[in-house]
Amino acid sequence: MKKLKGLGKRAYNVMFHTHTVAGIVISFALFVIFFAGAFAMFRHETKQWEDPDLRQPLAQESDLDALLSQADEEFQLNFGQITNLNFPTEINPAFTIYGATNDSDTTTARVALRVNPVDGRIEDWEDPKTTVADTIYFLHYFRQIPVIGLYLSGFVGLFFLFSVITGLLIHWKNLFTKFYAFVKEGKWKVIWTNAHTVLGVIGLPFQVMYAVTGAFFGLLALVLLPSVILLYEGDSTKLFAKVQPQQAIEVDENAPPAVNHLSLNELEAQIHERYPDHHISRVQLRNYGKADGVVSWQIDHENSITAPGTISMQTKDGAILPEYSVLPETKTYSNAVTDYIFKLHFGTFGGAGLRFLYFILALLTCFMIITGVLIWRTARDNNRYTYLQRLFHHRVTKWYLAICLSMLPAFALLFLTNKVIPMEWDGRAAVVNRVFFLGWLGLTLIGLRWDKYSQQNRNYLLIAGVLGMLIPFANGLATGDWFWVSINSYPWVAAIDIFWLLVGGLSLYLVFFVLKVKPTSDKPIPTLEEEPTERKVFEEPAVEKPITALVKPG
Amino acid sequence: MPANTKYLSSIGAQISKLIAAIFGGYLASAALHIGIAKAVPNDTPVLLTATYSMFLVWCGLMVMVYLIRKAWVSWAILLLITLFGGYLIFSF
Repeated sequence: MKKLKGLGKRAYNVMFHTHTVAGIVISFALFVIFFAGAFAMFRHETKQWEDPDLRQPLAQESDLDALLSQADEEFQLNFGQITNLNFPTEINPAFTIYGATNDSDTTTARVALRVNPVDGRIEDWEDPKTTVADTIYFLHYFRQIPVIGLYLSGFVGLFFLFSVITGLLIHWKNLFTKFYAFVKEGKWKVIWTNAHTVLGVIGLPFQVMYAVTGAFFGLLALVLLPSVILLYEGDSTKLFAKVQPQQAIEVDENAPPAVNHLSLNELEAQIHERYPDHHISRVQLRNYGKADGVVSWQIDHENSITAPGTISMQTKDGAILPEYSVLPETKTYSNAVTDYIFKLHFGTFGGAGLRFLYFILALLTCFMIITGVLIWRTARDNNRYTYLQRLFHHRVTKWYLAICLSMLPAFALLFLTNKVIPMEWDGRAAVVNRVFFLGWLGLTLIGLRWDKYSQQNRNYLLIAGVLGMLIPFANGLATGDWFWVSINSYPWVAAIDIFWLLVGGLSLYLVFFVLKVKPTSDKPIPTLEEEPTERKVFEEPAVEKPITALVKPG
Repeated sequence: MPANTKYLSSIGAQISKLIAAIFGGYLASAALHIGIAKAVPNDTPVLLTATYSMFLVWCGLMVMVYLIRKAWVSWAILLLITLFGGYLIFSF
């Protein structure tokens, strides 16, 4: 196999060390990000699964003007403020209105309303009944941690990029060999190392893309703050307006009411005629119902990366305002950059198949993160280290594995609790979230009592298997949509049920037929009395005496 | 196999390098990008490229800090890049 020129001796050791330190520091946070992110790939599908109200066929034609005026009647919307109307999709068949309402004579409050286009029901969306998909999605960027959560996730992304680059430099010499190093025999350290490098090399483009775009979402403020201060006199809207020109639209709050304006339905028909392949994802209303009203349509296409566009129209004559529009066919680099980053990160350019591929790659990355920790620990599991050092390595690994491996049963618990607690309960979303987070904490703490990694792995899989198998039945009992029925009407609802059935079944199969745990008498590290009196000098060739907590399967 | 400690720097130098890599790398990368944005006729494409290239340059500088043997040399290079960016920012 061809060899590339690798790093020199000193550079190799330095890169190795920085890779280890950076990797260990971010590892469990990165695992949480990738694991939650993998599930967040299907967050809209999960929304339909968790909320029976969203299980209805997509209305073919909706009267936009009627539903807007009905919402206005019920909630007294203030169209002087920016109002967004999000369009329904197959998996979320309701309109969502993000607007403002007059809560006193002088002040307005933001409202989020969900409008059902079939029966015209309008609900306040501020206090949703169910938040499974959102909880997972928010966990993906640590939004539950106030203020610093997003930045924390951004820095994890940045150091992930650093780890990827240093890892690439370490393995540069044997890059071609590593691509094929699917070895599952030999010592555990060799197995972990090969798994780590193979998945690192194969997943490299995916991981670089996510490291960079993840840092983008988390640390955008760090990029923009100095540029806005130095180039835009501290006014960030000037920069944003260059990217999203509709943000620069200025309207007069004292404009007279509109007379004989085109209706939203008529304007929508013009968009459909002009872009028949695209669908409208959102319309932004500025001074709707006034003489200078402007509506900006956001259009997109699920299977294209260049598709998103914004078309701003005057409501008085339907004329397109090119200076406030981004037409998909003529958009510039500046208009496209952030669209592309969003599409790459959210995987919305290649249909559900691409998102499934991303899901698998994200889980493989999770496995790669865990193998990294296991290499770190296994490589230090010998008598070059003191008893206390080895105890420390063991405890850190135990904590990491407890936090990471308990995520699957905790997610199963989240999905299950959502079906067990009746939809009619007030404040049920908060209860479900509490069960999830306390459950995760509890599972982590229990896991610390299992002294062997193989024991942690097996027990967590057992819990996940049992809970996971229950999920489709809980959904069937709670909503009546058993997956063998819903597979025809709401395939995504059935898909999530079947996913949990398969995950549960596979977990239980692994627990009972594949995984083995050594008897508890076998301590993973020597006790104080067994500690060698003389420590080996570092430079000497290692006397490998791995006292491993894991047992070879079979 | 853990890295051989004989190639690694002292604790003081390691702390210095950590600060250089994270803060120095950020300052140099930001100054360079904003400087280029200021020096070209249309700053928007450069600033939007910066939303991703800034992280790549930042990480590249982090790696550079660790590859250079002496911490003060890394600091000097980062300072030079920052000053060059600053020169572009304030002279255009």
